[in-house]
Amino acid sequence: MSAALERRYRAALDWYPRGWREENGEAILGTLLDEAEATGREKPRFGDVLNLALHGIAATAKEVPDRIPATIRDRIAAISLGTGFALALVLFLASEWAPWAPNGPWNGWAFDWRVTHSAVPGFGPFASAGVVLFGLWFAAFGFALVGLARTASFTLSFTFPVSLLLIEHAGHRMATLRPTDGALVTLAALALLAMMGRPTRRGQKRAGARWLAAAAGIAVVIPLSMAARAIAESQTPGTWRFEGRLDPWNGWSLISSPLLLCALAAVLVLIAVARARRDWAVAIGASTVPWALSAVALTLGSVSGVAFYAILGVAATIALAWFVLRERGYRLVLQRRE
Amino acid sequence: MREPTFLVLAALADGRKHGYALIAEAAELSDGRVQLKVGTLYAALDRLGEQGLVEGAGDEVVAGRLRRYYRLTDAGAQRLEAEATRLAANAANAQAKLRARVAVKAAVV
Repeated sequence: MSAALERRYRAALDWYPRGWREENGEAILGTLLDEAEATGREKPRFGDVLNLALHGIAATAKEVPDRIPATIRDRIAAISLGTGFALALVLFLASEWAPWAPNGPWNGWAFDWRVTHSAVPGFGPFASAGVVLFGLWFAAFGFALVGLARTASFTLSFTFPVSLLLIEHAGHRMATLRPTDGALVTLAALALLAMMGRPTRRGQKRAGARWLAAAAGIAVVIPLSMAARAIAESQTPGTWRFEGRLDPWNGWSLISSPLLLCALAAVLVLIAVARARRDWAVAIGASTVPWALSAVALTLGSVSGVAFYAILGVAATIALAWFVLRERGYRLVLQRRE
Repeated sequence: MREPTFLVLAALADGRKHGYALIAEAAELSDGRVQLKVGTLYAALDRLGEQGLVEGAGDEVVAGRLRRYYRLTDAGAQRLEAEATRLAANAANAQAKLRARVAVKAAVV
């Protein structure tokens, strides 16, 4: 049994969290070496290494919520619930209900006013079954406002199966349109973060009211970002009609400037860092991740096919190189020069 | 209950075993169909430990390697028995259906 084999197995176990390794590392290594000996192997199988990496990542992901202090988790939950509620509210108003749209579902469905412009039936007086998802967000926000954090988390947990049902069934069996994949994924990521902690506690109605104001503020920022786009497109603000921009089938484009939200978050993080409020900096930064990812996804979606695949290729190459280096027992170490 | 989990519990039914012995026993119990990977085995043992169905049963060092032994708890034995009964009932029902099918075919002919 070679020392190289043991070294490579130890490297593969680096995917597991440190605490888990300290408790179980030698036992699992013993099993790996027992198996290698029984099968006469001198090199680890790729499948085994990949299996260890996947289970190590899963074990790390399982421990992440416990590693983050409760105060930071609660703040991440509060910010994510607020911004998620704002997004659900804007999408509901602009994409599902739109009472101001003369051809919208509320006004008799003269024709389908969303992307396809085809005669697709809606969901009652709304454009799609997406209202169920948004309704869950409204309910969760309401529960959190009155201090029922666990009920809010429980309510949010239903958004995942509802999103899957929307993807699977809407547009096919139910023959209705649905929110875009981007909106569903962003909301799912925000729901995950919102469930990490307790956004409020019973009897904290004043704090709840502050979130409502903050979330409403963010909901206003999003349509305002459209105004910023109109200016960037050399249109004078005077030609930018609020109700026109809030055209129902432009629902997703309303939040097509999540970069604006990310910039706002970056400023808030800098202020928190400057004021030595590390907990707030971490909470705001983590809560912005879904928005930053949606900004990246939108940017990637708008670049040309070659550039898109080039970016994906570079990312995949870096990931593969990192995996191979780790698998062969190398570690990348950042060391400060003495 | 998924098959690998069932096999791990079944492998522990007749006494404590260490990691590689569990992998070998699971393969034998399934006629070689299930070859548990080491990462999968320890994830299952973690989960079964959290559920109180298995527990550690001592460590030994053999040829410089640590061997950790596991055993079934009473709750684990009950769970295994319930699962085995359920599978046996399913198998019996399927057999009965197949016999009925054969009888119907014979009557038609």
